[in-house]
Amino acid sequence: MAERPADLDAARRGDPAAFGRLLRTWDADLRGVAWSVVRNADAVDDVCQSAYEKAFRQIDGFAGDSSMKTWLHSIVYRTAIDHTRRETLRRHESLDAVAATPGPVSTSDSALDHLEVVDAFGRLDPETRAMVMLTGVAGLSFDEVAEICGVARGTVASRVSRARTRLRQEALS
Amino acid sequence: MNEHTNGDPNADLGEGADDILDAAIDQTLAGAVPPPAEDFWSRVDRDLAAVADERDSGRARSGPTGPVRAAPTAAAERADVEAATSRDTDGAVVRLTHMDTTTTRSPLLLRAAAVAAVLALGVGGLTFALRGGDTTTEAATDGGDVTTTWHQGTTTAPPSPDETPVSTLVDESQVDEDAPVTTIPGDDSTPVSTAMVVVPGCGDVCELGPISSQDVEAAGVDPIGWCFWSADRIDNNGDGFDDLYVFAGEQAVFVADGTTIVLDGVAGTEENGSWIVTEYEHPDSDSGAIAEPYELEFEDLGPIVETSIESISQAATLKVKYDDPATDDDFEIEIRGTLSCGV
Repeated sequence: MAERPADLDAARRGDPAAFGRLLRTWDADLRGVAWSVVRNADAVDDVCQSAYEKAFRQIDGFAGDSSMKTWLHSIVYRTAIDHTRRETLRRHESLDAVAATPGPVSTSDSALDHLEVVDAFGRLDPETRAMVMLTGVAGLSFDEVAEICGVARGTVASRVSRARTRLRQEALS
Repeated sequence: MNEHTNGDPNADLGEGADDILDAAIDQTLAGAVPPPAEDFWSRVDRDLAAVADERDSGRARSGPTGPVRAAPTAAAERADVEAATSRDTDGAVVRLTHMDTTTTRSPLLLRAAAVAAVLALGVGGLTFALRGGDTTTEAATDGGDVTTTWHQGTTTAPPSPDETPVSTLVDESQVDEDAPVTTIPGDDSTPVSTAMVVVPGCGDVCELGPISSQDVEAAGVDPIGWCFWSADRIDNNGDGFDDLYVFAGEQAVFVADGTTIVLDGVAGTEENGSWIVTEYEHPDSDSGAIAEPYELEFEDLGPIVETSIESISQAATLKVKYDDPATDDDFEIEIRGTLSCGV
């Protein structure tokens, strides 16, 4: 779903309704980034809520050098990382919970062990998980992800590549 | 087992097959993302409305999920670090209170050990101010004080390993509390290196760090050189959020060989908004038990220990891997900054 240009303009002027519509447009991807880092359903909601409120509070400071979508991804990512770092004991979502999550409809179902994939994904470090989600699921470019994560483009590329290799191996094992 | 590979996970399926598999993996991951709670959007909408109300009224208020804080001020005042100085036996103690008036969670970003702290100061559009003041430590907005010891010098050249850091410049009696605040403009393009601060009243530039020989001895290691590390992960995107992480080269950063240094415990900030890596142990600290040492791998950094090299200061990226003893989880981040070493 594409954002409406009118909402972008209105959101930048501080219109909460317009900003809310933008958030709903991008929420699936933003939520994916949060989940990739915190790996806990309740925490995902908390991170997203906090990040969305932060973002709206900072909307005046949005310079427009990047897209608002990228900017929001950055805020969600950083909020999620901060959340994780505050946790002295990170709790991991159990595989049971993952199993209860409706799986995707995939033409490759027969070749893929979803639980293995999700489990292997969980064993990656949070930042790499986010990079995989941002590039693969959200479809952002390496440059955009580098901006979001505050690392060099090459770092994103190498991390994603290594993670992909690992995930493929797990998926096929 | 995958029939196409006869169970060999390392089998080469070819680029096209990888693409298909990647797509399936992405689809799996997308499907694993939990949907929002039923009341999620009502909470978000309420938050947004509250922010809009606050903006309209221009009054200070408590953020919906954060602590009480002041309304945002001018850009130059978006972040304020106040420093109060006093003396101890090893140098002036600088107590820093960081009040970020722009974010909900007012992150207190600085925490350092009792000795030899290296601070990375604000970049990324923020302006930080250090101001000489009294010895009272102001509480952080979200609890907890920040204390670091300030080893002073007027040069960026490192002292010899057996040179005791001294405090000769800052004296409470010299601090002019009425002196104007000195600001250090933010610069989001340059990784922070050694923190240089100007303290009005003390009349000189003070460099933070490096580590003293006592610190080395206290940590019970036999260094072949010394290092300290000043780093940034500071508001890389200029959004003003709590992404200033001070990686203090505090009590023990040592050259173990040419490519690896071991941090014998590193303190991050604690509950106040930044990263928790572990607790650490230090004779001058009550910070708790030590965890396994961190091994830091250098990237883009050449050999740093050669007898012909007296010192080196080089921008680098450190990859910090944290093995969480509680969860057996790996936690890896990269930190850019400047490493300074000597032998």
